[in-house]
Amino acid sequence: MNRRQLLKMLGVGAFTAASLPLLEACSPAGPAAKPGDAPAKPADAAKPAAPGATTAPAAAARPADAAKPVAAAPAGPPKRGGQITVVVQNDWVTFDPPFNTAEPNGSNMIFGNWINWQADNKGVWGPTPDLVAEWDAKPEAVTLKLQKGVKFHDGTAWDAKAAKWNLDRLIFHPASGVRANLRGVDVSKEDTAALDKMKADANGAFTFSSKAVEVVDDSTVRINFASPNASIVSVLTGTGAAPISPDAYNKAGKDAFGRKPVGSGPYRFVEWQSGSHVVLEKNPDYWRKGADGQPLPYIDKLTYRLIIDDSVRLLELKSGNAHFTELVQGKDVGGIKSEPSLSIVESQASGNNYRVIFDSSNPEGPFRNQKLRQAMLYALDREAMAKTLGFTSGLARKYQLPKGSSGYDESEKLPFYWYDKAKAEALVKEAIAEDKSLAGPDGKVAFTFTVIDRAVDKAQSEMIKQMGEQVGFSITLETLERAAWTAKLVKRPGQPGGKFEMASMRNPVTADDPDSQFRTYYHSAGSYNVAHIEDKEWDKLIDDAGASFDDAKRKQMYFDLEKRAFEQAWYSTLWQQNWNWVFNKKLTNFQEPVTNRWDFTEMWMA
Amino acid sequence: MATTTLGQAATRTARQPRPASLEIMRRVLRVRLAPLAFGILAAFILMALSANLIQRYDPITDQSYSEANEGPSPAHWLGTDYLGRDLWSRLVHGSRISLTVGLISVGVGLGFGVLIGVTAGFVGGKTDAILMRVTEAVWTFPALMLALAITSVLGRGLFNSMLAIGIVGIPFFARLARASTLTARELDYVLAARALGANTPRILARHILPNIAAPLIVQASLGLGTAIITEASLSFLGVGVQAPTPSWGLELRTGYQYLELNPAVAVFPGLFIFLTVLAFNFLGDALRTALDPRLARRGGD
Amino acid sequence: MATYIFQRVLQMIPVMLMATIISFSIIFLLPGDPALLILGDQLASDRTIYEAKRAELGLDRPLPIQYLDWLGKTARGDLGVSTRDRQPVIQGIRERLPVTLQLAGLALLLALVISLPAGIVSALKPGSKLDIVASLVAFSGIALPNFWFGILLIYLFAVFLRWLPPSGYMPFSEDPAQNLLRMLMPALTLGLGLSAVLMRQTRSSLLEVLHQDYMTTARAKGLGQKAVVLGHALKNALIPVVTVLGLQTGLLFGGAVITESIFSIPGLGRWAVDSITNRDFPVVQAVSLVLAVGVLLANLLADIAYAYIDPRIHYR
Repeated sequence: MNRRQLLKMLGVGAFTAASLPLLEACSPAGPAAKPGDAPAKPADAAKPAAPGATTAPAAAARPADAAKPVAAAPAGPPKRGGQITVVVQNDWVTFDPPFNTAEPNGSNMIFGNWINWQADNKGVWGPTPDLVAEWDAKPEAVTLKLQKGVKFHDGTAWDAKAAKWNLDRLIFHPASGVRANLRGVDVSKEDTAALDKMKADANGAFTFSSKAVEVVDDSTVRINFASPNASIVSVLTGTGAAPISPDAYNKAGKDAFGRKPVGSGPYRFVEWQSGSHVVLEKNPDYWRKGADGQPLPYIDKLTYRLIIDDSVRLLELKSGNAHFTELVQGKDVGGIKSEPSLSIVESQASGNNYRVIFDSSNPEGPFRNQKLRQAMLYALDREAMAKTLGFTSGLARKYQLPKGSSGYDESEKLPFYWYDKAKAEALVKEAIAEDKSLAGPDGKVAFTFTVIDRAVDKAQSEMIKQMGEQVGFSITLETLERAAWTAKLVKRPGQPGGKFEMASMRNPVTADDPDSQFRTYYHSAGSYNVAHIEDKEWDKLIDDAGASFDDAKRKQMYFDLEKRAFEQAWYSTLWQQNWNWVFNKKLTNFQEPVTNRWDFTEMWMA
Repeated sequence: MATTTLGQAATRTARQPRPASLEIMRRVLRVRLAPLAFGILAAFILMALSANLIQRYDPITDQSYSEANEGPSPAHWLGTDYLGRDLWSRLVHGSRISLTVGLISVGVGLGFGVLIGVTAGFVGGKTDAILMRVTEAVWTFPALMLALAITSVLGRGLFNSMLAIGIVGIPFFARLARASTLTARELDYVLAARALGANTPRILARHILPNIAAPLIVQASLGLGTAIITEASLSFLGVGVQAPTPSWGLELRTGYQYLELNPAVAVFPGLFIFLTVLAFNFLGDALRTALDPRLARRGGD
Repeated sequence: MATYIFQRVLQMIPVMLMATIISFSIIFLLPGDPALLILGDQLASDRTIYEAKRAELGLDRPLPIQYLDWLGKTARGDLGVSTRDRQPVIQGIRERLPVTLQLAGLALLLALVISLPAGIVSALKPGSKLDIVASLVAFSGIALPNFWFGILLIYLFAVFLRWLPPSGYMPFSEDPAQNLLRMLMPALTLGLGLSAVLMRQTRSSLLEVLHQDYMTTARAKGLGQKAVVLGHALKNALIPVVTVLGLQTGLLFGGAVITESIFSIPGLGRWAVDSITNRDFPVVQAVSLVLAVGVLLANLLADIAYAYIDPRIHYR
């Protein structure tokens, strides 16, 4: 045979030889037990001792047809080693949890949590121990018993002193993003001079020590409350509260620590190249153990790459250069499902909620009028929006709280807005008849609709403009980038801004504690009160619900809140895009996380 | 492209009696493929003028969610976009935007550029130095970046991007106007006029401006193409024309986002931009050939 | 020649200063309170911290003083800190500048490789089929919106054929093969317009030179056609080409902005767009300054090369 044929044969032979091990690896081995069982949930022992009190949505059954909360039994024993690339779409701002205004994007792997929020085998979500082994939440104090034998990446110990330091920082640092959620802490006995001193040097070492947080013993801390906070456990499961190494922070200072974080999680920080990527490597001294008795995690290295563009990141996944991402747009879900190398997991319990808000406090805007607000909400065809913008992953929504949340009312006795063009038109006419100043010379009610510069938000705004103009409004679209949008909507002392007419926003919603849903965005003291709601009754309802340890009472209060929101029509949740996670089929043992807190601790590459 | 050629052209045409416009047209059309370019431009201009007649659906309000993201079909010649709007109708209206943007931004650039350039060239001395330094300083910033920065100051939208593109084009026309003015200023009869005591506005209007017109017209027509592309770039980056107004650049942006779902939307807007700019470039080149007798003799580029 | 270069540098200085003034002041025209932007939402809500920051930035002082202060800091290399991720801006530039330079360099290389031979061949055989085709292609290249070209390339090679990776940047030090592979489409996209312009310029100036009187003299001296072309004509024809190259640097950087955005390349161009969008004003100031300086330097280099090539200046 000639040279060409010989080369061909050799080539084929080499190829076959090379692919044999691959073929072997892919074949399923015998049935394997679920590896690396997390330390057994201490069932009821850890639940708050107060009677009938729980902050978990215990009564909430997850929607039956939703995504599989637990991945199917993985094939083969866990394999150690390797590295994976995760695609993120939002740039990092800092890695210091309470100052992070952007997405977690890997910080949860560096830090771990006080308490985890996970779904069990039956799909019921609830708190599970992590850095806190046991907790006792009472109205007047919360006691936390810490996990023993845990060290930070710099070798310092996770003990009561470190825990107190972290809690003090979360509660008292002026820039802490979780301050509002940690309300009710007894700050009456604090040393104001010391507090002012700390505020004056907010970027330096944190040396303030509070009286509200006590060290009980080496591994126990207690937080004293002046008024009850029923969602404290839920707050402690958040990524914004994650504990950091006091030593590292005090040595580096605020800004530098944010760029070189030190935590106690399964992965340590290696490098962060702005606008490009972040690299984490496994923590060899992590305290959790895998199925083989060795410390977790299995995967050696995590690389988080920033790819803002949707089509580009999908191509990276399909070509195998990247292994994990989340929230692919509804339009791309179909294509992924038919892609042989990728898996997609969808969830209805978690979703990106698209909302519209009115500035009812703007005396010059048309939405000071309640009928016009209601008219606009009747004018919107939520199902069309869910379908056109979310494709198969879009879900039209009636209420603010999602199904599966403890405040969700299954009885359908709660009124809701739905598409009713005739009603909308009638309401607009009524409103104009009562107050001629609402309409312009063309007989239409004119306003500006402010949206954030994002593809789906903009497409949605075009649909809303269309629908609104069919019932008697005249709408001007205004697109702003995130920072400008925030500046326009949020009221700040001494700053212009805080005046708009109608705006849209989006935020991730999970079936977790309802308090955060209402407090942050709609309470008059909420850090993000973009709807400018100033209603004492409303605030009181939120506060009472958040302080009540009585399940039944809480549920009734959230019912009342939703009802009032319906009557006042200050805002409305229109539809959600179901959360989804897309990953390479070889990435094994995926467990549905809380939206964007991807947990790679127990996953491995087959 | 080198300034010397154009300056010489200005000198040459000044020495001969000005050819009638008709003569120039004839020369332009003699250039290879120029009639084709003319035809393309005429087609787009016609499209812009008759947009309301040749559209098949309303480009903004005819949303049809069930027909979203479809390729070309008898119902929708070029397909539909993500809200089910007819792409053909949107592109047809987009031609209005593109041509308007081209005309106005070049108008702004040309107007102010000539003002600055002629002043600098004619007056000379310190004024010239200062004006030229400032012009060069603006010139050093990459055009797109400058346009971006200007639109972020002025705000987004069609009008502001026209202004921004115009401002960005000023240095180019200013330099050109100045160079041509410098040459024209030294012409025999201009010197004579000044010696006779003719006042400056008269000299400028009767002698300078007509002589610098030729190279400016050529560059203006090339500039139209550039302006259209810059507008498309700004819209593509999201700071130009805002939804739901149809613009070719905005449609391209949509096409990029929906590339896998419906590639047609990525192809047609770009094609329209390409053809229009090509036609303008051809025209500009043909004008240059027609207005420079040397090149005309050689039969054109 | 030395005097020529010296003159050029001297002329550059006032322009550079004007450019710094423009960089500095554009930010103050941007809507948004600088102190608020630097601190971010959370910290700024505390009045004391906000006032302290304003004082630290010296926002109460008259603008010219603020400018001089900024200029001084910039000269010392202190370009401030990004408001988004608190990274020192100079660090960000160090990370991103090489990326953009590589992109621009590759684009330039591709453009030269394509345009010079094409231009030379066209000029040597004007009017031939080859010439017509090449000229048409060049013409089209100028008219083609480069981001459309980029999108089409992505669709063809990454989506449809799956031959090339669609995006992203791999540092050369990490994986040279991937780096070049990923740079291929972006460099083509960026270099497209440039190669078209260069090709036409090469062709027209070579054509002009070939008809010049002194060329006839050279031929009369008995030199062969090839030597004539390479030795004399090209050198003179390159003069306007080099000038055009210098002028095109600005366009190259501008094109980099869009190219880097489409292909997700973490370079200076995309950083500029993002920072304008995010109102990250220390970055906007710094990057616009760097780009302006880059363009000025490129022009200076072009002028120097010009001085070497053009015998009229060389022997002054």
